[in-house]
Amino acid sequence: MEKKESRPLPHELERMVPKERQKHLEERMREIIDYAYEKAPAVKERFDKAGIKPKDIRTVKDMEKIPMLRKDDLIALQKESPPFGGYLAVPLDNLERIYQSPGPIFDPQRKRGFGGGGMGPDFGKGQIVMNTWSYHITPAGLGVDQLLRSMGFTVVPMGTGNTELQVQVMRDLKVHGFVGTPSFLKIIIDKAEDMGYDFKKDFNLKWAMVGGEMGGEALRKLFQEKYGILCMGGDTYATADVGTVATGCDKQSGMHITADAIVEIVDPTTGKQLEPGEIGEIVVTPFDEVYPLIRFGTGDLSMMVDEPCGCGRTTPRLPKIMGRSGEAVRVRGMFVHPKQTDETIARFPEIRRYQLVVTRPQNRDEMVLKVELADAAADKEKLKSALDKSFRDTCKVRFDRVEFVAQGIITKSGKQIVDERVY
Amino acid sequence: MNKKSSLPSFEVMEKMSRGKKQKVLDEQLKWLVAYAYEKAPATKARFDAAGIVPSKVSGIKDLDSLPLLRKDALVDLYKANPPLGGLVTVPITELERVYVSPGPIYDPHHSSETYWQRHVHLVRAVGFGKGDIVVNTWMYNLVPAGLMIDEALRRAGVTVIPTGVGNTELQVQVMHQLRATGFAGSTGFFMNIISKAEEMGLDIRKDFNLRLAVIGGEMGGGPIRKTVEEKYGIATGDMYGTADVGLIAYECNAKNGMHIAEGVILEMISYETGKQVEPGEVGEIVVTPIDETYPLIRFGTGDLAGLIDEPCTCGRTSVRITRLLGRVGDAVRTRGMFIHPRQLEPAMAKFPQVAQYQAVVTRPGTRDDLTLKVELKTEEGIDKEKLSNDLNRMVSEALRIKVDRVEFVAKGVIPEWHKLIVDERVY
Repeated sequence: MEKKESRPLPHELERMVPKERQKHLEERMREIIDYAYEKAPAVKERFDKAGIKPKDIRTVKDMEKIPMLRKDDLIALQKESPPFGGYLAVPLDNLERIYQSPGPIFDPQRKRGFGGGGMGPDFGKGQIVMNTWSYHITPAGLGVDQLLRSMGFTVVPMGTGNTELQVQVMRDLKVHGFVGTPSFLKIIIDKAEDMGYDFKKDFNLKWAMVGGEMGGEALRKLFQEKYGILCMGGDTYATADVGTVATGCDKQSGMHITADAIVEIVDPTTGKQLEPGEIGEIVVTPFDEVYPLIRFGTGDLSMMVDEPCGCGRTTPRLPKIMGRSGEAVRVRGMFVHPKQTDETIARFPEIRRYQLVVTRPQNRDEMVLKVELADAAADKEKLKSALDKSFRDTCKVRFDRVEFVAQGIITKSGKQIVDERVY
Repeated sequence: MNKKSSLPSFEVMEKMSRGKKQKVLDEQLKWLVAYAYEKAPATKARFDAAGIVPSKVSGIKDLDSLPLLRKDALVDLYKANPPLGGLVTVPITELERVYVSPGPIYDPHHSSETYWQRHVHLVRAVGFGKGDIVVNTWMYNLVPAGLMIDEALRRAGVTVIPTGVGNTELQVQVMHQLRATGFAGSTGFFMNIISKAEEMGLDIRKDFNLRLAVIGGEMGGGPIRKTVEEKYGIATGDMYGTADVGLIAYECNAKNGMHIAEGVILEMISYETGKQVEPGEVGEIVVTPIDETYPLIRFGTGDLAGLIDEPCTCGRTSVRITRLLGRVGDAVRTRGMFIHPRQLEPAMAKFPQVAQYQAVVTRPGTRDDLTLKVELKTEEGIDKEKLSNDLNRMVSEALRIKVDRVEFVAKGVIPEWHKLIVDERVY
């Protein structure tokens, strides 16, 4: 797809009069649809099945005609036609990397990755950032790493875990910024205080870019008020499949939607677009030549806020993520899907029923696996550690403990994963 | 001073006569020494202490009196002059990344073109290229290994799957479903994945598309590699490097030892005499890579190998070394990572109930096994299970590799004078 010289850049688009921007966005939308229809066989198939042609889609409103692509559909398509289910629009050997996210679902490295929310290439000059997203398998860590380096930051690729070392590095290198989940930053601060440090005095942490879990507001408030850490961008919303969808600003009035994708809020059952202020599913069409997922349903719920923001960006905002429309639950930044838990539990014939319960005591997601045994004589300790290992392997996030419960506690029709978090 | 080293293309370098190559490298060394002397205070201090004047250096032979820069000295320099030890030629905020190696040593991300020229040439010489899909199981967090190999592979046109270490089952699925053609990682971990795949009912020859496994990081991989090649029909290759200097040697198709990478000046120093060894003898691998971001001059790797001088049938003129034969110091390379008493001590200091301890590395099968032996001051009132868990967690975290078990031993089992880490592996 050829780029036209005169085109406004993302940070220019974000500051344009909305009507003006809409013209540019719709032009790019039509281009990406033409392109995807031609290059990605699965897009053509979806259009043909619905009896529509690219020329039928002229405006954002017309997007409603295209059936949504759900994560589950994508998983099934990838199984049928590996590895990318017909959505890859470039030859496979052009890809720099391939990632895998829970599902399992493969993600190619895209050109349009995790966008910076309109910050220029010199934004990070002179600053050291700790990136605590995991660098392994899923795109989070490497995607954010690339973004930060492109903005001029010096990145320390920490990954998760090793709390004590995180404290030491943060202090030794006089780290300016932290990127990761709010709960992990809290753990690091607590550890530093346990080690006898005065966080405000002994550390140089000026800002944090935190996201990936719901309910970060309380922690962000704490970081800012108690420790003087500016929570840059308030929050960032991105998914492994489509990259960055919305980023916050220093006014902390929510997350501005990106200008290099079409973002819709729709009724999850009908796919029809909703008015600003109405809660619905976030649906994204990224302008991405590598992996053009047209109308990808994220499964996350939010709403559009259209009022002007003092930061200068004129783009609509998502105040926050308000839940999941499907069954997958995001725990400590990772989606856990009933499919994965079913698959894991199926390996243990000694288990009759199970239920994974997610709660949030003290600002950290806690996951308890309730288990009803088919065989009461089973070796519980052995089972516990085998479950722990299997879970870690398949779901990439660990449960905190196993509870063996009597028959009848878990009902036959009960959901496999229950989200009982209160924020 | 000019901020760029420049070498001929490495396709030209690799066929160059030894004499000519020596001249090219000496020229580069002269430049590098002058540059590092000017930009890196710790290098200036080393030269001044040894009484060597950069302008009088015309080749590697003139550096005989410059003491080797060993890992221990490096750690001390980093401590004395944080955060980069006075060894890096640019300010920390000009680096793309800073890594965290045990010590901790804050390794800079290398950005010089020569460095990447060397790495791209090296991974291609090992056999990777455009069209390959390679599972990279080196660790991406903290240490430079994973991200360095990732970048070298991508620059060579390879599609990388950044799996990192661990999650054996997932590794099998990904390799199988994405029809990966290559693997990069430690020998032990590769064998874990193979046995897991077989356990899952997969036939390596039929169900996998693996063409080349570049496995290294552990000594004595010879017999395993034979199995991989003969039983599973997967070619094997080897690369050698350290966190500090990057990759410095590789095995070509001829599999006659490891070629020293182009752009690296090699010395093989006898740890008894401190002099260059003769071909056929064993010495410490000492390197001076041409790299202006992080110019480590006469870096002593602590790894021992034999020097091979005969020409290789592949046509490359580079000097070769044998596989690694051991370590000069106390650090023990386990599952591809160096573990050092220095890391163990502070972790164990947190357990006042412990009288003596010793980490023991063995190799019962094809995987390095790590046992932590612990002698308690008293057994009274001690919750051994909890202590064992705590010890395991703290020590695994400090060493960055998993301790396989904690074993409580009676008084006297650990002798009063003992090494903190013993290597009992038999290959």
